Amino acid sequence: MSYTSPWKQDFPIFSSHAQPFICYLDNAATTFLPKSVADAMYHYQCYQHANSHRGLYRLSAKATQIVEDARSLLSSFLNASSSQEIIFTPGTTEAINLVAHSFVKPLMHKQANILVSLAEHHANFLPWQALCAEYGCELRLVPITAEGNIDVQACFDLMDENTVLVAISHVSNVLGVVNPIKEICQKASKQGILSIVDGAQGVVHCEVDVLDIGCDFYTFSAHKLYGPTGIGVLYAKHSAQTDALPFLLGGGIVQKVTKEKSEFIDGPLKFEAGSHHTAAIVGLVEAIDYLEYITWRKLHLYTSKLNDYLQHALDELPFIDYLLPNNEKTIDKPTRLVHSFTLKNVHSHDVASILDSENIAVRAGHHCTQPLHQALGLKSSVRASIGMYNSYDDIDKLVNALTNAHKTLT
Amino acid sequence: MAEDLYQAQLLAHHKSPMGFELKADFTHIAEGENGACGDEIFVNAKLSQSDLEVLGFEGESCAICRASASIMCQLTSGKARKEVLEILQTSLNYLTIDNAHNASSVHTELKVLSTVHAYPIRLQCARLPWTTLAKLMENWH
Repeated sequence: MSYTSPWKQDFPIFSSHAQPFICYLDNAATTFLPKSVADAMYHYQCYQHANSHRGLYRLSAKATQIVEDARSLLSSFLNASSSQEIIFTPGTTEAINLVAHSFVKPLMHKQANILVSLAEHHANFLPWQALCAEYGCELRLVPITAEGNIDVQACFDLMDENTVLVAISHVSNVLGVVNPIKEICQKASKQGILSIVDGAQGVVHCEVDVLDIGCDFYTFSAHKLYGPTGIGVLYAKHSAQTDALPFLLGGGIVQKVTKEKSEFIDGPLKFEAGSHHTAAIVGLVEAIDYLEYITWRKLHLYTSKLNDYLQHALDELPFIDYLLPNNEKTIDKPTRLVHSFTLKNVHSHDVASILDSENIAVRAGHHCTQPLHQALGLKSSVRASIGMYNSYDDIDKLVNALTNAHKTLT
Repeated sequence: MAEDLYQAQLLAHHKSPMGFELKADFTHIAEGENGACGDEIFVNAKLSQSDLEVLGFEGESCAICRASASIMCQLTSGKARKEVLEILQTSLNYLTIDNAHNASSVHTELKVLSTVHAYPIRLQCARLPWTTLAKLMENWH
């Protein structure tokens, strides 16, 4: 079946002088940039750049306006109550570390515990592990179901009066399932437990309404959403921000500094020490505008069809093993948004190398989810993930290359 | 192309590796792991005071690692300690990014891995059996 993405020509990386033939299937890791996003960043950096929130001259005021308008846009994008609940960070990893140090650490005590799902990316695992180690507290692992989702009942059973936080992902970067985050976050909220959702994958595939979800924190990175690297967003519910102290200390966060002490400002700027990466913020805004112009409905419909096609194609390959123990064909199950698997008797690294030689980019390894892989008895897996510029041809190429890889190495 | 990296001789070592899951009364064992890629290897050796009598390995690893381990077993089994150390050092020197062309003192069989130099990220796979052997030999008293 041949069907080219209607948006592939928007991405300069496919130009004849760059990577015209690449079959890029590692979109869960990072996505390519549409020309409009690169142009917007270039325009800002060349013709509008100044330090935001500092200078008293018009150029600086304009840069400040750009940042604050972006904050408002992101607030609407996530349906936050206010733009004051939007904090810019370098990415999801930094956002989660900020939450750990500024919002959760003050609540820790010897009897505290933190719940984290078994399937979390290390970015949403290590900060909690470190915090628990520091306080001698318990890190409780929430198991996954046979289908790969976070086990809601098990999560509820693990919550108690000493639980300080539940840390979960919206969409698993390995299993490609959408987790029941609303159910978990709302239950946590009723019991006075904070909740953080790693939305790095979720924001790409799902509409995000943080008020509806009921989480205290939601975070994502621009570069997985056809935006630039170096910028991410942290939604922090206003009630969670009360009395929180900044993690990163530096310029732009203080009312007054003396030799003895500092008084911090209120609001999201308190957590954004240093100069804003305004060009990247511009890029993120343009990426969202670009996607909203296409409409999320069209985008999700297109990628959903491709994911379905890929899932069925993998089902037909007798040498493919899925990661979950039941190892059944996925034909009757919800379409996965990310596809991880192993080839019988072939190491994932070799699969990726052979695919690379055919200009196909997939990820091989543990995908920063070692606890999940250990629980599944695996050292590594191969992961393929669709983007808006992929086509059915890309999937056909992948299938042929997987067949070739299996034939070569067994 | 894939056939550059996975050329016939390398594949032969991967599919029929020497020393793989060999049973013997081993005296020493060392474990090696590449956390980034998931390669895991156990190197087993029967050592006398002067000789590496038998060398074997087991574990889950990629084709490059397995082929390299097979070559290692082929080159070092039955050799005197001094010679094993020389082969080890030469091999580790060869399997580095800067030494693709420095093959003059390298055993012919190890040159099967010469294609790995074109894929620097896979050098760590080729090195793993040898660094594990080096670890094992630290306990060869």
